[in-house]
Amino acid sequence: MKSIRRVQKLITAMLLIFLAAFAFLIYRLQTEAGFYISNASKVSLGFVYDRNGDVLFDQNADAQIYGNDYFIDIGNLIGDDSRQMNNTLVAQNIGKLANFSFMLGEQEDGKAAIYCTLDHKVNRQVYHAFGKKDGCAIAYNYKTGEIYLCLSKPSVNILNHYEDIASLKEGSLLCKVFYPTVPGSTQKVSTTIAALESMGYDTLIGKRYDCDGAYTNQSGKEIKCHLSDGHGEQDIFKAFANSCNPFFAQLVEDSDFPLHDIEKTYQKMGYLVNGNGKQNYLDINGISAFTASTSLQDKTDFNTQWGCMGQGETLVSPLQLMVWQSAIANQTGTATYPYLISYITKVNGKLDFQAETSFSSQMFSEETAGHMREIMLQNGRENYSRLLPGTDVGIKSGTAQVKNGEKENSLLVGFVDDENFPIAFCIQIDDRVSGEVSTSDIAKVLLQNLHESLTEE
Amino acid sequence: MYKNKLNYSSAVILLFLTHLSMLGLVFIRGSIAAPINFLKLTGAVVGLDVGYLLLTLCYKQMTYTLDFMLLCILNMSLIFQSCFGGIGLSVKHLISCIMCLASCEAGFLLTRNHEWIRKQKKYIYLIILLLFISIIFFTDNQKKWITIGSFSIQPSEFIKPCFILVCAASIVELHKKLKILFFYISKDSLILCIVALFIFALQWWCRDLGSLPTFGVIFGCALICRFCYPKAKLSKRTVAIGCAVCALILIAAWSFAPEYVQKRLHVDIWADRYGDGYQQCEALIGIAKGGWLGVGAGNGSLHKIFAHDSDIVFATICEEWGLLNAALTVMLILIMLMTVLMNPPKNYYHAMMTAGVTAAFLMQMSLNIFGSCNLIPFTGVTLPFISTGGSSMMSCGFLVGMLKAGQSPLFQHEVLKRRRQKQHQKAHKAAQKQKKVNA
Amino acid sequence: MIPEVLSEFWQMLSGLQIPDLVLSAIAFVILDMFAIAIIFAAGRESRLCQKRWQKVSSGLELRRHEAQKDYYYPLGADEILLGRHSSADIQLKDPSVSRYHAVLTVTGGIWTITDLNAKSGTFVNDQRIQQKMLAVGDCIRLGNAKLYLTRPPVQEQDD
Repeated sequence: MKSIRRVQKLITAMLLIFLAAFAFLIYRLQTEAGFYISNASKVSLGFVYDRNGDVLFDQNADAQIYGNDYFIDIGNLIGDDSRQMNNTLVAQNIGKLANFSFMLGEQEDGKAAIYCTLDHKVNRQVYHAFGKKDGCAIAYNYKTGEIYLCLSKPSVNILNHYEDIASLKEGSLLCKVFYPTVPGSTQKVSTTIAALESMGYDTLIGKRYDCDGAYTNQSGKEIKCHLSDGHGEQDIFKAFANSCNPFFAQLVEDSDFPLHDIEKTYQKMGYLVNGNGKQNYLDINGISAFTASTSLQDKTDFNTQWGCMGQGETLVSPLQLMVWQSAIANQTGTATYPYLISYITKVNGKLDFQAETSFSSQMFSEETAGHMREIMLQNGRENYSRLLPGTDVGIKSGTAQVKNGEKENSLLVGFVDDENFPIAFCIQIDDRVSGEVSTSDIAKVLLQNLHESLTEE
Repeated sequence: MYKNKLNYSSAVILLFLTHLSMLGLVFIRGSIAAPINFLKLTGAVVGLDVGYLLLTLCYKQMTYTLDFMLLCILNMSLIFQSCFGGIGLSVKHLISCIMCLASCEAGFLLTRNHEWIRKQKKYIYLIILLLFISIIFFTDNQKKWITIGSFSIQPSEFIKPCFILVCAASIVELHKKLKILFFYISKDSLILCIVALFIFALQWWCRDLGSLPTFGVIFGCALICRFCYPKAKLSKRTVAIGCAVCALILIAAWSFAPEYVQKRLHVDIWADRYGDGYQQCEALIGIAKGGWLGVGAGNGSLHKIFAHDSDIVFATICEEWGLLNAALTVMLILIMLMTVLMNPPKNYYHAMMTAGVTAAFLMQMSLNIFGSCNLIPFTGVTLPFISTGGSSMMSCGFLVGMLKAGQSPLFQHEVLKRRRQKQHQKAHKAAQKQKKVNA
Repeated sequence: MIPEVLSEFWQMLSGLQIPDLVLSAIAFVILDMFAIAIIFAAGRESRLCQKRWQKVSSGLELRRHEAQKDYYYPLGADEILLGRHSSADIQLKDPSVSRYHAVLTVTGGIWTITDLNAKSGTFVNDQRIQQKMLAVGDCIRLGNAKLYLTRPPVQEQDD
C-alpha cells in the first residue's frame, strides 16, 4: 500500500545513494592509486625532463652517469623522492610520477614522466655565473607563463643523498625564489603603480621634489638618500632611475596620494596589508610560493614610508616581483601566472595533463601598466642598454638591507620588450659588496644565453 | 526439505561452492605456513555451513534467503578474518559468527509478531535505560566497553536494535495525539524525541562519535516516515519549524564541536602521515597495493596496523583479496538489504523497522568504508558482519533477524489459533486422563 | 577511455599466473551466481508470501464505480487508510470525503472498518457506523464516494 511503498522508496533512495558513493569511491581509488602508492616505502618513479629532453630527475641517478654537479642547480627546485624537502616539484607531484596503475600494479618500465618548461643548460650557466656569491634567479615567458629558469644558491646536490646535510649552508634546502625576501628599491615599482592609479599619469609627471641627500619627514624622522650629496630636483622618471628615497618619501606624504589608495592597489596586487586577512600564496604546479606583505599605518610615519620603499616590514618573493613585470610588460594590468610543468604522461604513455596559460584578475589599469612600462623602459635605455644589445629592457634595481642593515642584498627585476623574446625576470644576490659580481652581470648572462637557447629551438 | 515447501538446492549448492572456491583461493594464492591451520579453517567453514543449513531445516518460517545470505557473508568474513597476516583459524571470530546467527534467530522470533512487540514498548524503553546506566556507570575510561573477565561488551551496540524498535512503535501509534499549545503532539513521539536526545547526548559525552550518525539516520528515517504517515496531521508550520531546529542543531554542533572533532573534520591525512592520518594513509596504500585481485590471502602488510580487523577492515580485505572481491562482499550485503524491496512487509510497523535497519546498516557501512578511504572523516566504527567484535556481530545479527521478521511475519490471529489448539489439546489430554482415572 | 581500460585489463589478465586467474574467475562467477540464485529464491518467496497474504486478507479488494469505470484497489497491508489526502493509502478525490476518513484493518481474514470521526460519516450498507466488520459484497459509503468489498475472480494458480 501507499504507506509501505513510501518506506520502500525511502529504502531504495538510501541504497542508491550508497551505491553512487561506492562507485565514486572505486573511481577515486582507481585514479589516485599512483599517489597513494608513491607514499609507500619504495616505488618506481618516472623521469622529469626539461624542455630540451635533459633529465632533471632520475630516481636511480648516480654521479657516474650524470657527473657530480649535474643536478646542483635544481637541487632545491626539482628535489627528489627522499622527503627531505617538501616544497619541490617532485615531492608535490610524486603521485603523477609513480609508475603504477591500479589495474597493473607497479611497472618498472612505465612511461610516467613530467616534462618541464625549464631550460637546464641556461639554468646551469646562470647558476655558475653567481660565482662564489649566493642568491637566486627566475625568468619566465610573460606571455605564456612558462618558467625557463629558476635557481636558488646555495643548493643541495641530491647525488650526495644528504650525507653532508650537517655541513650544508643555511637555506640550501629551500628555493629562495618562492620565499619572502626584503625587496628593497624594487618595491618602488609597486609604489609608482599605486601613485599612477591614485593620481593619474599627468599629475604624477608634474610632481617635483627636492633631494639634498636626506629628507626629514613630517614626523621628524630622517630618510637618507644613497647619494649623500643629493639628486636635486627630480621628476618621477629621474627619481625612479636614481632610486631616490627622499623623493618617494615626499611622494607618499603628498596630499594627492591618500594612504587608502596605496593600500587598495597593494591589496589588488596581492599584498597582505597590516595582517588583515589571509596571506596569499601562488601555486606553481603544487609548489607553494609566497606573494607579498607589508604594513601601512600612517603616511607621515617613517616605517610606512620605509615600507613603500621596500624596507621595514615589506616582504615580497622574487617570484612575485617577476610576475608583476608581466602585468606591466603586457600592458594589460593582469599578470600571467607562471608554471613549471608543460605536460605529464601517464604510466601507459598517454597524456595526463597539459599546461594552459592563465591570468590573474585585474591588478591595475591598462593605462597604468603602459605608463609604468614606459618609466621602466626609460630606466633600461639610460642605464642598462648593454644587457641585451639592440633590444629595450625595462629595469628596476634595488638594494635591500637585511639583518638590521648589516648586510645588503642586491636585486634586479625587469622585462625584455621584444615580441619574440618576452622574458620577465628577477635576480637577487645575497650580501653583495661592491666590486663583486653584480645583478646586471648575471642578467646579461641570463638574457643572452636564454636568447641563444630559445632561438636555437 | 524446507518448511515453506520451496526448493533451495541451487542456492545451497552455490553457497557451498562460494566458500569452497574462496578456500581454494586461499590454498593457491595464500601463504600457508602450517597445513593444519588451513585444514582447521576449512573444517570450521564447512562445519558452520553444514550445521546451520541443517538447523534451518527445523526453522518454521516463510523465507530462508536471508539466512543463506547471512551464512554466506559470515563465513566469508570468517575466511577473511582468519587470513589476516597469515592463515590460521580465528576462533574468536568463529564464536562471534555463531553468536550472530543465534541473535539473528532471536531477533526474528521476538519481532515477527508486530502486535505483540508493539505492546512490549515499555520493556524496550526499560532495556534502553538499563543500557544507559551500564554505559554511564560500568564502562571503562573510554566509555565504550564493559570488561568482564576476558570478554568486553559494547553496550551502545545493543541500543541500536532497541532504538529502531521504539522508533517503529512510536510512529505507528501517532494518531493518539494531544494538543499542547499550538502543536499536536503525541505522547509517544514526545518520549521518542526525548530518548533520541538522551542517546545523542550520551554518545557525545562518551565521545563515541562513530555511533552518533547511525542513531541520527535511524531517527531521521523515523521523522521522514512521521511526516508522510497518514495519520500525522503535520502543518507546514510544524515542518518548517522542525527543519529550522534541525539546521540550527547541525550548525551549532558544527561550530561548537570540541577541538578534537574539528581536527578530525579538517584533517589532511597526507600532511600528518605518521600522526592522525597514519591508519588511513596505510589503508589507502594497502588498497593500491592490492589492486583488483589482491596480493593473496595472508600476504598483506596491513595486519600490522592498529584496528586492521575492525576500523580499516575494508582496506585489509582489499589488499589481500582485491577490490573486486571486497566490492562483491559489499554488494552481497546490499543484496541482503534489497530483498526487503522484493518481498515487502505487510504492515507499517515492520515496514518502519526494515527502513530503520537498512538505514543503520548503510550508515555504518558508509562510515567505515568511506571513512577509511578518506572520503569522510574517520570515525572508527565497525563494518557490519565483517569486522571483529562480538557485540557488533550480535547486534548486526539481531538486525538481520528483524529484516527476516518483516518478510515472514506472524499474524495475531495465527497466534490465537495456535493457542486455542494448544488449549484444546491440553483439555483433550486432561479429559483422557480423567477418563483413565475414572476407569 | 574505454578501450584504454580494456587494454589494461587484458594486460592485467595476461600478467597473471594461470591457476590464480582461473581460480579467481571461478570464485567471482560462483559468488555472482549465488547472488543471482538468492535473488530468484527471494522472488519465489515473494510469491509465496503473497499467497499467504491472500489467505490472511481473504484475498479481497475494493471496487469503486465512478464515471462508468471500475477502479480496483487491492488490500495489501493490514491497516489501510481511506481519505481525500494524498498520503492516504486509498485516495478518494471527492470533496465530501474527509482528509482522513476511515481505516480498514484485518484480523484472521475479516476486515473491519473504523470511522475516524469524519464529518460526513461512514456508512456500511446505508447504516451509519463507528466500527463494523465487513462481509463480501458490502457497500461502504464515505460521503458521496461508494466502495464495494469484492472478491476478485479466481486466477489461474501456478503450482
